[in-house]
Amino acid sequence: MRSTFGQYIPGASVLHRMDPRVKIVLTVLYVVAVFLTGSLIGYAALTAFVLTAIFLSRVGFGTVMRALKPLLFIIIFTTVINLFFNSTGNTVLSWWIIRITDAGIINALRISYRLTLLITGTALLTLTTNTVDLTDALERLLRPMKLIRFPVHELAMMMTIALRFIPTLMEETDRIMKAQKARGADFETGGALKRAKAMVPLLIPLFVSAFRIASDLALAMEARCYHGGEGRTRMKTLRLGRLDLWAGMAFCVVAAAVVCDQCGLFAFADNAVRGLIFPGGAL
Amino acid sequence: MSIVVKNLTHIYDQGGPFEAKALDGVSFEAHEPAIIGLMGHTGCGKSTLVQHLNALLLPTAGSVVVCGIDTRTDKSRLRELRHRVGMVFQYPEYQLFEETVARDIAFGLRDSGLSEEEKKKRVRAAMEEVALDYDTYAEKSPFDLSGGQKRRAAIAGVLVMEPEILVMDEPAAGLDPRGKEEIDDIIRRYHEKHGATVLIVTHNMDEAAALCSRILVMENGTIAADGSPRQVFSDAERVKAVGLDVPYAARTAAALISRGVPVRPDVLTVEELAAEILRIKEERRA
Repeated sequence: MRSTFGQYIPGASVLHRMDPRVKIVLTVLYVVAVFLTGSLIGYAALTAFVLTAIFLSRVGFGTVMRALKPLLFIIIFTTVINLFFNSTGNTVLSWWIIRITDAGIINALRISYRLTLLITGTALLTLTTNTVDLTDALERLLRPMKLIRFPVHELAMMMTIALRFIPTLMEETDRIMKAQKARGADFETGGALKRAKAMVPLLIPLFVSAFRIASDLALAMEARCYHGGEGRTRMKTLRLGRLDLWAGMAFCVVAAAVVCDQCGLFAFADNAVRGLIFPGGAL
Repeated sequence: MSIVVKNLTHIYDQGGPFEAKALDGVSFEAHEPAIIGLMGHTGCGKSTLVQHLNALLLPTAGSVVVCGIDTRTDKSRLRELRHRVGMVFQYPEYQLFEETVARDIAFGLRDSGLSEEEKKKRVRAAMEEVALDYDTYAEKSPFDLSGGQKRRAAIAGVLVMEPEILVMDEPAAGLDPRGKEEIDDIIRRYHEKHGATVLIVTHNMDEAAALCSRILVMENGTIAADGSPRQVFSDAERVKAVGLDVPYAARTAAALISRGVPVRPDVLTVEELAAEILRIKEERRA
């Protein structure tokens, strides 16, 4: 089944209706929090936050989990590296040159869970925000950069166009591929060289199409008097609403938990839990 | 050379977030060479159906047997199938890629085992069939041709394989009336010369009425009507209900009848209507 990472799933849930700017800011802060925390309580708070968000988004738990698929390899790879190449802590198991320590196990679990939280949280942003809103919000958030003559509007426009044409070009690829297959082209079998050669009948028409689409679009934009970001008004102005306030407040609670935890305020609870899991008291 | 489609159902992205049932229990058969029109409103499943005929799409349920090859079970014969069922997609000119027109047309013959001499002969014949002069255009870049010429060159790239069944998805879309007529001529010529079955997807009622001997009408992934153009277009209400219209000549005939001119009610083409009007004129003079 295809991965859902970066895909948008239309809907009218609470998360879909939130201001995209707030969603971006909260996602960035969430990522910071995920990297900041290292304790069970911090992870629990963030897990609760992300699970609530998944529930509220109404895109389905399975859909969010499928976003993990393309990054599964990286998660497994880092987990294995951490498991086998950590030499601190007490040895739990040793065989030949492999030595697995309890610190290694904890680190491996921590890293893989951290990545899982990271991917599901950020996937949720793209799952519930369409690309136009996303780049719109980005343009607004980056507006202060204009002071240092950074072309914010142009960059946002380029992003919008690039994202907008991904599905178009995918469709085009699919169409040309089918047309050449119908003429007996074979994209699937043979060695690397043969396959690379087989791509020529696909790539040339695709390039031609891309240029044709680009020039059509440029013409259409000019015909509508597009002249860059100067003095341009928008059809949809972004407004903060009550939803965004609630979301912000919910995140503040989670952030407070993470920060307090990092400062050692919950140390007693953390120790108690760790004591339960590792009675030896390794860490 | 036969097409047997039984209870064909196709679901896109099954189990995914964009699951959509495009075909729902479609059945039809075609055994004799004929020009068959496939009509229906946008999104009714026409393109999905034709892509099953050379196994570009495989059935979710049901079966498709073309030229005795079951697309679901005879995996080893799919290459053969794709040579026997020629497929011309919408806007086929966007598939051109070679340096010369002749080489692009010969693309489908690469692994055919034919000698260079024979290939050249086939390319020449295919270009003749689409009315492109070999000596003038064979060595030109396909990107230097006009829109209509590009379209015909791309069609030649499919005809060169001499398929027994030719499937065309809106072959005349975006062409001017003259270009449309040229495409119709190509279809007729190919059907007669090779005894091939031609299946054309079209939105143009007049083209369908003049060109096809059988019409399949689709609606919401099912076959809503199947018969000769006269049968299908005789029920104007039904045709309108599935989002289509009757041919221009039939509409004009209906308008004439409502004004008391006794033309035959089942005329389909402009030629038939003209003959009817002349006949009535003659009768009135007499």
